[in-house]
Formats: sequence, structure tokens, C-alpha cells
Amino acid sequence: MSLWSRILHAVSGDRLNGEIDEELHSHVEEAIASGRDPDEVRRTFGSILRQREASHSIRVAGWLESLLADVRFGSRQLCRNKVTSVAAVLSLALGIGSCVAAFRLIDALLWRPLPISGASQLYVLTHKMTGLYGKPAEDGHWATPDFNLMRDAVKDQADLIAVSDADRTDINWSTQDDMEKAHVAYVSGNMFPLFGLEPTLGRLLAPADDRGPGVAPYAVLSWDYWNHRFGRDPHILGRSLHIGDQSFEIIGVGPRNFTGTEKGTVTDVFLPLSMNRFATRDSVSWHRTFLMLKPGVDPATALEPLRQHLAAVSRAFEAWSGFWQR
Amino acid sequence: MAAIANTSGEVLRAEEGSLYPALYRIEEAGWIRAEWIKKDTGRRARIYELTAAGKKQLGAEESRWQSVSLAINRVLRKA
Repeated sequence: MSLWSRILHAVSGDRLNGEIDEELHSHVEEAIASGRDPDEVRRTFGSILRQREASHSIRVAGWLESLLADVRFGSRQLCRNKVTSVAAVLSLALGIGSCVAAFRLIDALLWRPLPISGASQLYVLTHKMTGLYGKPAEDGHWATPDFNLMRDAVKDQADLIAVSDADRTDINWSTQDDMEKAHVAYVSGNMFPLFGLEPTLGRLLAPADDRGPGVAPYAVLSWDYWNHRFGRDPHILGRSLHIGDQSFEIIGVGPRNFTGTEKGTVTDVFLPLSMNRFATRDSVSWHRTFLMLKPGVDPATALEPLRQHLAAVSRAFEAWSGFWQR
Repeated sequence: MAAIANTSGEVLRAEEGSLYPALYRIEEAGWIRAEWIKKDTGRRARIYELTAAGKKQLGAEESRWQSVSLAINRVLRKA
């Protein structure tokens, strides 16, 4: 007898009992019909109830039957004390809900590191400055010429990576199409290789795309954007998207788990830093700067000299005092 | 039941009631299968037959019994 039939028997226990009873009775009747004394037959056969109980437990999945009995008993108890039950369910629901909310927050903030290689060697560069009414302020935005100077100054010990905020930008996919919004971030070409990211499709931006203004009209889509906007269309490569009067050719799709460096924002499109018109402007601080120590460089001893060195070459803010933050 | 008692010369007597739990257990093991039939009297009855696995099991048990009883006989005769 299969497990399935045992489960069926457990669910419909009364039917099984009926079947067993029927079989036992038919045995007894047959014995009487064959000419035996009815009393003698019943005596030698023993109690039908006892035989039925013994047979029943063989033919059902016992654990399931007792589980069903418990469930039935429990639900009757719940129905009997409606107010208590509702209060218990409500308090459980609230408790579980708040636990889940707290877990999600902690998970997003603390336990989910950037899905990149070398995250422990990565730092954000910010500078302290005097803000409104003379209050000290801190800012993480940098001008690209400044960034280039600093990058060259520390290139033996660390790599600098530029990533702009993923702003909502008007883009369109062909000249007839309607305008639509997407989160567009400009990144230096070394970001993808330094983060150790591999393309899902095509290729990602590379340091060669930083050569000069306007030489790399290429775009990389994030996996999420490719998924929800294009249904993972494999023929996306080679299509162009337009931002203002600029056109970009889609050259690749990023890895699935990388949504950009900003918390709470999923970047849709990555463009080369060099393609932004601010990239040649001295006075516009518009992108963040990450610093990744080269492999083998010890943060404990290298950071302070690097900070002083960077402060020395950075000309944008005279009263620059560096500040490190992971 | 009657057949067992007759053949063994009333030496072996199986209790009638214990037949069904035993049958169900054997059915559980897949050695016999059962079917409901309608009898002339109008009542239903369940008839059992050996499955292929059951025949194999019967052969195995029989040869085991043979070897055990042979061994016991030898020991008894020697003593």
C-alpha cells in the first residue's frame, strides 16, 4: 500500500473503519454460512472492535492522523474563545511584522556589502569645508579635473574611481519614441574592472573609454533595467539611446546583483564619465570619488600619507582637510 | 484458517482474529494485493492474491526456514 493511500486513509478515517468492519463481518458471516456454530465463530474470532483498531493503525499514516486530530482540537479551542484568539493573532501579527521590518532595514544597511571584489579596500573621499553661516560642512562631490590630478598623484598605491549620482534623466530610445525617465550615472572606465564585475551581455566600460571628451559614446545597462524595461532582450546590443543631443550605443549589460553604488537607488544606465559636459569644467563638483587601495597596501599605514598627499594636490579647496569614511 | 489447522493435523492453530492485522501488514509490504468482489449473497468480500514480489519473498522465507529447521534437526540428532 502506497504512502498516498495511507495519507488518504488518515484523512478519511471513518471510511477506512467502515471498510475494515465490512471485511471482518463478511468473514464471520461466511464462516457461519459454511455451517459453523455462530457463537463458536464469534468466540474464536475475538472482538471485532479490537481487530478493527489493530488493523486501522496499520493502514493509516499514524503521525498524520494524530496531527489532524490536534489541528481539529486546536481550531475548536480557537473558535470557543474568539476574543482571546483575535487578540493573540493580532499581537503575533504585529510582533512578526515589526521583526521583519527591523530585519529588512538591518539587512540592507549592514549585512549586504557591495557585491564587488575588494570591498574592504574601498573608501569614499569627502572633504570638509565651510558651509553656510560659517558652519563646518562635509561634501563628497568632486570636480573631474581635480579628480584627474588626485588620481595621477596616488596611482602607485591606490586607484580612484569616479561615480556620479544616479539622477533621473530624460532619455529616449529612438527619435519617434516618447521621452522616458531613467536613473543615469556617469562612471570612470576603471569602475567595472576594479570592482571585479563581469558583463551579463556584451562588454562593460573600460579605462579606454576615459581617453578624452566625447570619444566613447557607449552605454551599459544595469541588469534590473534590462530585465524590466526590455524583458532581457538579447538583441539589445547595438541599439542607441539619446540624451539631449547625445547618442549612446548599448555595448553591454551589467551583472545581476550590481545596482550601482548608491543605497536605495537602482542605477539603470551607466555612461562614461568623459561623455558628461561637466567632465572638463574646473568649477563643477558633480561626482563622488572612491578610493581603492592596491592589493597588498595596508590601510593602517597608507591612509594618512595618502590623505596628506591628496590634500596637497587638490587645488579646488585650499582649506582641504581630508576625511575618510568606509 | 481451517486449511492450516487441517493440514497441520491440528498442531498449528492460527487465531482467526489475528488474520486481518497480519494480512494488512503483508499488504503494506507489497507482497499481496487485495480486491473487492461482489459475492452471490450480495455482500462484498475482499480477496487477496500474491504479487510477484510476494512470491519472491515467499521463496526466500521458505528456503530460510528449510535451512534453519535442517540445522536444528542436525543438532538434535547429534545430541
